[in-house]
Amino acid sequence: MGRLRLDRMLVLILELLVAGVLQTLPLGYFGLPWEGRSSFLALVVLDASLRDGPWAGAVSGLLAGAWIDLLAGEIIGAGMGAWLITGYGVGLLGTYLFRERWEVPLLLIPLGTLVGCTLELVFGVIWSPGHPWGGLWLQGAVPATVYNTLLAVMVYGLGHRWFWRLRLPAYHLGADIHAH
Amino acid sequence: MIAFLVVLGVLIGGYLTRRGTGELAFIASGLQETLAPVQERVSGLLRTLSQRLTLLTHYWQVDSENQRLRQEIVQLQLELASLKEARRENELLRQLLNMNAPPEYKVVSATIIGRSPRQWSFQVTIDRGRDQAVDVGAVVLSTGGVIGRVVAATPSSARVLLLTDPSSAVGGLVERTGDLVLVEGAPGSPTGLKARTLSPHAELATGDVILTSGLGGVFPKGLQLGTVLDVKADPYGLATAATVQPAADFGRMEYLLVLTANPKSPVAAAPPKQSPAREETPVAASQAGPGDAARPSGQVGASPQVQTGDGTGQTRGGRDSTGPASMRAAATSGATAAADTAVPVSEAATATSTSPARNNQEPSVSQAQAGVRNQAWGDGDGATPAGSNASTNP
Repeated sequence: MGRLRLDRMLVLILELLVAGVLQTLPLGYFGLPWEGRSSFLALVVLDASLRDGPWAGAVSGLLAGAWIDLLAGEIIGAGMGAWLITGYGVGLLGTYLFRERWEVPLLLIPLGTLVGCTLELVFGVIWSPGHPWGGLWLQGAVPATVYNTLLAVMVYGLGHRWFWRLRLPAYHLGADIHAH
Repeated sequence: MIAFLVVLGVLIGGYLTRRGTGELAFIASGLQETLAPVQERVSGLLRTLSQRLTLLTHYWQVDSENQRLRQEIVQLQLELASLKEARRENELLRQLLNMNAPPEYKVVSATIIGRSPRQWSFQVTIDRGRDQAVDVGAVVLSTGGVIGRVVAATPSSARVLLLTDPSSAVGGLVERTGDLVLVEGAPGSPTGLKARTLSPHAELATGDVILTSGLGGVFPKGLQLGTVLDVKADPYGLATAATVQPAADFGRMEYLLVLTANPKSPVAAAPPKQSPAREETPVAASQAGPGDAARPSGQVGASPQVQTGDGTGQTRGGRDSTGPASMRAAATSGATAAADTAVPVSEAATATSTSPARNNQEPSVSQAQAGVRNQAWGDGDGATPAGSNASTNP
């Protein structure tokens, strides 16, 4: 817990609040495929995991999961457990991979979304036997993964050039190591 | 001499004037012909110049007028867009109003303000809550038909469990045959909704319209749930499963209607005798017989005009006289007190056991129940399919 600075923690909470509100918006109005079922909360959790490491991922995952559980009002704990594990796991994976490279978030965000949504589904349907797993997975995890992949492409892929021009230290380091 | 010349001139002038175009007319026309283009050019030039000068003079005035007109255009475009939107809203609301809610219910309009943050949950939040009499169990309709029911309510909002949620199960009735089916959420299926028959003898065919049976006491009878798209037989021959196209468009739900208990209705005012959560199974109901399966008078959605098994022997009619199709028509017209179609319960029961829609003489569960369910709108008779209208949520 001590690994997250207070200001970063506050920003993270703010991000989670905004993402939580976005995630509950009925985007089906806009005629988006799968009723626009993207997972903004997953995006925030995975971003925190990649930027701040596994503990930040775990904390943000726990908070995001609590938000989901409380708002959905069905099974308390399914979302918390699922996103805590996912946040920690992706954060841990990020330390082994070269996370400053733009390809890494593009790979890990879809993967993390898919794993997180699947875990949430597993933890949820354990308590509700008889639910059609396959159908729920197709209608829940897959759309979220697709949408989050698109968002990751926009944020990390297209935004990468902008970050590069800013010559952020991390990118300098990444570029040097990559060139070497 | 001068005087002579003047007189001569006057005479010549008078002569020429009297002759009109006379001998000198060709000179005049020649001149006019030559002059016309010049005149035309010059007058055009002058006109243009005059306009330019006017423009130049009134430049600021024109400029401001131009700006005003542009603003007016933008404003009119906005008004046009607003009117188009209003027209669309109007059409949607008209469609909703045409659905004619049962008189036992009060209708509250609602708008969707949110959805469940859980990816695999099919719930929406509406902007009406307990303050507007929208409480748990209230039925929610959209253009076309039922979309679900309220499962949680706060003073200002309520959460609606959609029909497409896997934990949703609603007792349905095939309009054509009157057979009972269970309509469940089926995530992953093309339409998100499926129906299962509850009897091996029940018929289900493509194109069949499925209505709410009203047996669970939650959903009023006769509301449209969907249309059968595709029928698949159970490999064991016990039941038939079908893909159902929902009557409501779940992709574009904007304006909803919530059916809440009408405080003016004598039914709503009466204290409930039995909780909707505790419901008899169809088998139990069929064994009890039509007279015994009468639902408690205080049950939600009960029609005050309908009395079954109470000794008076009056019901709204047998299955043959007021089958599901006519039932819906009667419900649509709001005619709950159709006394002219009333027949004794025993007659109703007899009529149901020999349904003209099917040659099967053996009364099925649905047939046995039909005698007591032929009451329009919300005639929950205390019997329901197993699991019908009950969420399997923990």
